[in-house]
Amino acid sequence: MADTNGTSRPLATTTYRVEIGGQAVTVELAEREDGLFVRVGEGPARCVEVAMSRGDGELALLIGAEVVRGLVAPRDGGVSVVVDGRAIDAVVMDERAARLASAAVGGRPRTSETAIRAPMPGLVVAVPVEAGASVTKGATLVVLSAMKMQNELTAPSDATVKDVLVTPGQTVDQNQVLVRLE
Amino acid sequence: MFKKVLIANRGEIAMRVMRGCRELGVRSVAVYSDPDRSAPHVRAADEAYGLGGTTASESYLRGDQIIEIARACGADAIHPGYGFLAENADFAQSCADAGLVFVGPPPSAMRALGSKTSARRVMQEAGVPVVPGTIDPIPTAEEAARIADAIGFPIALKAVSGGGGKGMRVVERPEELVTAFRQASDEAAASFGDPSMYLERLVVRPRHVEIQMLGDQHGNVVHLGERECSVQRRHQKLVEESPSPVVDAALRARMGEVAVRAAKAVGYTNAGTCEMLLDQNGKFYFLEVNARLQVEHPVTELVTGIDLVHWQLRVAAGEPLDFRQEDVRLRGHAVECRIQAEDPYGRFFPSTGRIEAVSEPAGPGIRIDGSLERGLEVTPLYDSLLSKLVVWAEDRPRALERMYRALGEYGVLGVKTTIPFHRWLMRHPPFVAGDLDTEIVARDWQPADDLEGEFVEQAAVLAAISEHLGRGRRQPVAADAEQVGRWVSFARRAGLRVP
Repeated sequence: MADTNGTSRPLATTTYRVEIGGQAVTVELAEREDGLFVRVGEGPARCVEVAMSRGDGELALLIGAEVVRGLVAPRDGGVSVVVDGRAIDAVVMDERAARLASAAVGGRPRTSETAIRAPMPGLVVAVPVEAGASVTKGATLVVLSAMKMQNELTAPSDATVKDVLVTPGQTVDQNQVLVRLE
Repeated sequence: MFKKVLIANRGEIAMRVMRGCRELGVRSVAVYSDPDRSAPHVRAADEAYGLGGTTASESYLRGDQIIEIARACGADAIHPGYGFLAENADFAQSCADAGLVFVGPPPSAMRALGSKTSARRVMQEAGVPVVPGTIDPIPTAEEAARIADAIGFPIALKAVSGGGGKGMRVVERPEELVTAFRQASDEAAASFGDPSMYLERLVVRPRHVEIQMLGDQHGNVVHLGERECSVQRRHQKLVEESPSPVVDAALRARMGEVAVRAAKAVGYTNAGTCEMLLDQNGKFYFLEVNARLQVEHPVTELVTGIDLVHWQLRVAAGEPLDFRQEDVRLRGHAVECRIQAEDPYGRFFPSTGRIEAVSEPAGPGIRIDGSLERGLEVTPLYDSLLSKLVVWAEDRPRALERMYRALGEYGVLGVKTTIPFHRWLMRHPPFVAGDLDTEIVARDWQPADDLEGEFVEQAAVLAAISEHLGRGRRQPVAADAEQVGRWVSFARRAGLRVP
């Protein structure tokens, strides 16, 4: 049985910072003589075995005796993970990259501006807001027609409309900025 | 039987029809748009021809070109699937004129059912119950008040040019009617450029229940029981099941008899569906006939044991039905979940992208009609249906638990899908109790930040270990692919997989 108390000396330890679901989770992986150990946040170190890792995204782990399986694949600069049919995006950085990233953020003036982007190519049907307007969370900013449906893009939080960059009738590309909020 | 059938469609339904063809020893012909050159439905066929063009109207809606290809390649018949040309009477007529069999009802039946107004008129004459109301526009608010009094409240005022619930207003009491009519009419004029209104009795908390019909060219029409399709968002179905939890044998027989009468009234042949509204007191009303194979046909196939695609082809080829109404028996319970490329946490907003990984469920009672695979590009050009997960079990509670299990095995990475919504629904108490109506999604699905700690932790560990194993980066060939175009990159990826 694997030692789960972490008494043997680690040969190498890597700490990952995983940004996932709006939170940052620390995952520490310690390679020891008796195997690989994982520790999440301040939790206990547990022995982990990679039961399967396939190029098509399948990844299955044995954490102690618990089976954890999912699909993991790169997406938009991070990874996307599916567990029990539910997908979630994550950004994984090792300690060094995490420090660099936070230094970079610290070196730049923080901005509270939010860009509302087109999640897919489509046709702008309506823009019911104008620059300078105050909007509440959930207010419709742009109506975009794509995939045979009219889709409403809404404000993620209470904000002021800084810029409206599109007009009804205009076709837009994926990721094109439509509205800026601040 | 035919020797060769052209399937004028794409995606899962094209593959479904091709499988049926192959089982009957019929060669299948695929057609494809430019972006679909290497799509799964093309590879599933025996022959494939390009239509050119990118959008639906440049490709799958080009009836003239499709008929030309069918003639040139020596096909006997064209199966339209659903959507695109499936309910286009002119296309069905053009097929006949070109000496090709259209696998579907005759153009005359399609025309009679084509507009809601004419369908309603035909059905009223045939004694089929319709929601009480007017067919033609009502000229004045006073006239509307007179009609509403005759029909009874509550009523729904609807814009003639509206649709999908837009331009609709519910009036509970007579004294509210005149004001409501004027306001709604003004709104309709502003929104649709047409102030015309009509009115109907409002069916409170309706269920959407439909009857599958099947007719041959020898005057035989049978019904294959009902499908409950009340779980909808934006008036589009997400989950279907058969039988309905509230339809018993007596109600089924009455609804089925009405559907058969409706089919016979217009000389209907082949597969079709009579959509109805069922109110909370067990009264039902004709809505419309879908003159085609439905997306949700598999649930009927699983409970009746009757292969609808086989029968579509057989009756189109002139064979008579070899069973009668009394031979049709429903056994067990079937449920279908539509796996859509949509974000259920973001108001079912469509999601596009490249499918990076897929793992599909298997085991007892599972059927998947789909064309999902790694590398597939989900584009905004076509429908957002990725696949249909269908399960069968002895009874409804077991079918729902089996579906819950199967959804947990369904992994799709690269686009957002409706899978988490379906998992929630399978254990949502009113749904489990069979207490549903067409507003159940809008009313009960309130996606919150319900990320469970355990889920986040497991996902974080998987992500970190994936990175640790060096899996965290895209294959270099995929990065190149962005510059060289999708087809070349597809060929390269496919080439690299060859041992």
